[in-house]
Amino acid sequence: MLFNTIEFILFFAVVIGIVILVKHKNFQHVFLLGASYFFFYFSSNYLIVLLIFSTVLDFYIGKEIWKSDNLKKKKILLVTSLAGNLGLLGFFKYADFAIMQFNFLGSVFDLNNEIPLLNIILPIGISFYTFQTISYTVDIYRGQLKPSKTLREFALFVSFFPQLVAGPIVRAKDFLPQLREKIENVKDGAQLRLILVEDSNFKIGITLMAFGFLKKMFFADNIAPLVNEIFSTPLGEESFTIILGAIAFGVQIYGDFSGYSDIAIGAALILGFKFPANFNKPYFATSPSDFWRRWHISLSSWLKDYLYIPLGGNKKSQGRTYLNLAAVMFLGGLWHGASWNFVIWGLLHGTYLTIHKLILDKFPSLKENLFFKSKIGKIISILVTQYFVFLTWIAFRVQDYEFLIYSMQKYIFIDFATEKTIEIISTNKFSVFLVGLFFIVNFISFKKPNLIYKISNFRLTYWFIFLLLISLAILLFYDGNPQDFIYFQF
Amino acid sequence: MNKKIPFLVLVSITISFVAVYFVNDFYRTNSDVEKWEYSFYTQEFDPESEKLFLIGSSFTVRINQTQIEKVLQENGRKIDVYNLGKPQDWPLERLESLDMIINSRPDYVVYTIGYRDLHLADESLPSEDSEISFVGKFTKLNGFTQDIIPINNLDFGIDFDNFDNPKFTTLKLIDEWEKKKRPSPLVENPKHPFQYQGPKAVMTMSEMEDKYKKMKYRNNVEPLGGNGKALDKILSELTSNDIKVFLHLSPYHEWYHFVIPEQEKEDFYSYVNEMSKKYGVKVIDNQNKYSDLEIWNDYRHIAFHKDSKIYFDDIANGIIEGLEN
Repeated sequence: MLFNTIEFILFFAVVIGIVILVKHKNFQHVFLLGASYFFFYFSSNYLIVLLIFSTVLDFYIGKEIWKSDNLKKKKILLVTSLAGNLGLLGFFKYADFAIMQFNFLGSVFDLNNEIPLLNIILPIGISFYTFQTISYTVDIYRGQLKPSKTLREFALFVSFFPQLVAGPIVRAKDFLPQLREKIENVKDGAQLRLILVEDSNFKIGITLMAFGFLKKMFFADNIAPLVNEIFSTPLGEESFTIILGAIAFGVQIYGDFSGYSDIAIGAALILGFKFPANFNKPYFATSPSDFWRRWHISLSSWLKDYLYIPLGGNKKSQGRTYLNLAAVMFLGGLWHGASWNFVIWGLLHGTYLTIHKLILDKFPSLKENLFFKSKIGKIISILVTQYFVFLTWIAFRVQDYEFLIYSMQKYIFIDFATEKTIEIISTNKFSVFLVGLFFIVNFISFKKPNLIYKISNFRLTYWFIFLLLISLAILLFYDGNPQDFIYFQF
Repeated sequence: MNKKIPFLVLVSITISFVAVYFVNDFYRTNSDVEKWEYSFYTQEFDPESEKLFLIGSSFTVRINQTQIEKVLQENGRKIDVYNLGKPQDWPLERLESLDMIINSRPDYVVYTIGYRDLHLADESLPSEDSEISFVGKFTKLNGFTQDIIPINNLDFGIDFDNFDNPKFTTLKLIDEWEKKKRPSPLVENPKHPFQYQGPKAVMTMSEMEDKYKKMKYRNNVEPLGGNGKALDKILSELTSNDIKVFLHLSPYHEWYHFVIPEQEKEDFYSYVNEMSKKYGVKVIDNQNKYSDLEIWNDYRHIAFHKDSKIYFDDIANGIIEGLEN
């Protein structure tokens, strides 16, 4: 079920309505679990079995790890959980990709036999809920988390519909306490929390959701045609056209994914659950590492906690640190999908992070350099960082390798021709206008970090006008067909 | 919970949906092209001159009617040539203005077609008594209600015909508002009134090759589909009203020809030959010409450009040849 459809609006209205009307804790929790499974089943059908399998596996393994005093047994249980989760992820997401690589190698070495593709359907959200369940088991193994008291609570954590299909990747230690938050302080902590829809949460949640819909349906979906026109056959395009395409795609994917995250966070907040922010103005990042503190924060922090640090992080030699960075970004890229595009994208980011770290290690005084702390220094840092970030979006977007190489060459080696760029701009005025408008709006929200909260604190009349303007902008410029969120495919 | 808050959310969504409906409705009755078409076809034409209408889609839009008129006059034929092309004006769409075309009594019509004019259309020929169901139209906006609310057969008597793309409607409205500052194209280009385009950039051969050799072909030539039937009806109506008709086959660059399945080419040509025989229509075939010339705006369109004179001359000569036989 896409967020940007009336199915979801109706579904969500019904869920809120029932939660408000039936003030019975047990019912509310069971109902939310049932609603989440319905939400998943609606678009994934029988693949819900995988979600249930992951849930049951990690619930019981988590319990056993917690109960066991034997380190060896704990390790075996952890490996079983990882094998189960990553095995499913690997099979459903990467099996065909691996077969294609084998077949390619076979053709290189003139082997006549080809392994037939399995043509597996990628289960929606598998990358997200797999990472959530892995973090649960690992946190218990590390002694940082008590296992969930009931299977129902754990199942709700894994399947909670706002974050189920495209994140944010929520940690059990952040989510599970919210099911019992207010009662934990009471002596018998066994009671569940009554889920209340509070005015303040409702207003902030709706404001966030409105911004999310605006980002997705007004900005991202209306910029998509410009991106498609440029990158469907980029051969012969001028440098400025390619740069425009890269910027437009950067805006599209940001609007698409952060829009989804806003809707998810807003929907959860209305039901009284607080999710961590997933984006923080990434296009104002002043360095590659700053970018990854602002872009898909729940993934980057997951990769840091469960991959980078276990690999040794920056506690070992400098060389090992660089290698760890590159390896984490390589796997982070591959997490996005079974394609060399994402590998290249991840490796490019890994290279940026490594070079940035290398420079800071060689010249530590740069960190305190006054120029980089000045306004002009920050602007230059932002522009240089974003130049490299937008280059990576070409690798993310352009599937055909000949097109990809051509586009990257044009992006790097500017040809200064403008004739076709002007023609493309003149035939896509609205999309180009939206790209410009996006940066203006983004700049305003960068300068006023609490904009959402300020808007949700407006007097009701002004808040209503705000909502009306946003919904008018969305509906009057809606292009007639709900388009998938890009991150649904991951 | 303060009930005003969800109430206001509901009101804002309701107002927005109502606004979309009215914007669509307003636009439908105030369409620029509809107004221009009405003004064009009902104008007083010069009774001393014969009239030739060039009709069709973007293929036609990019034909220079002035050059054709000039060649015709050099050959002793005083004919006013009007370019009435509209982008994506496939035969099914053209049917809507057929009556106006016939009522304005042209002497000749050159209908420019290509493979895309016979693409498989979902629509069939509109029947006299076809009705628009509320849900059928409204679900174009959000394709789900049909599955949830089983009221397909209800007709609320509201015309939701233009509801499938609010964005285009809104953008056209903005464009219309902006155009008010400019004179109508009927005044600016009375012989190319609906979609006049100035000279377009010409692509070099290497650019054409680079850009389009990997092009994926998406058409689906289906002479028995809605567009094929519509073209048949148009030719039938025009010829039965004593209008001399030419079918002009628009040129394609060779890179485009490569990707068209042979079967589709055969289907297209057999359909054209059948129509030609059935209605005594002369075919001006320029399909396989000009691939070696740098006069292309893209792989399907010759540029509206001074270097494309040879193409416009070929059309004019085809007409002269047809008139002489």
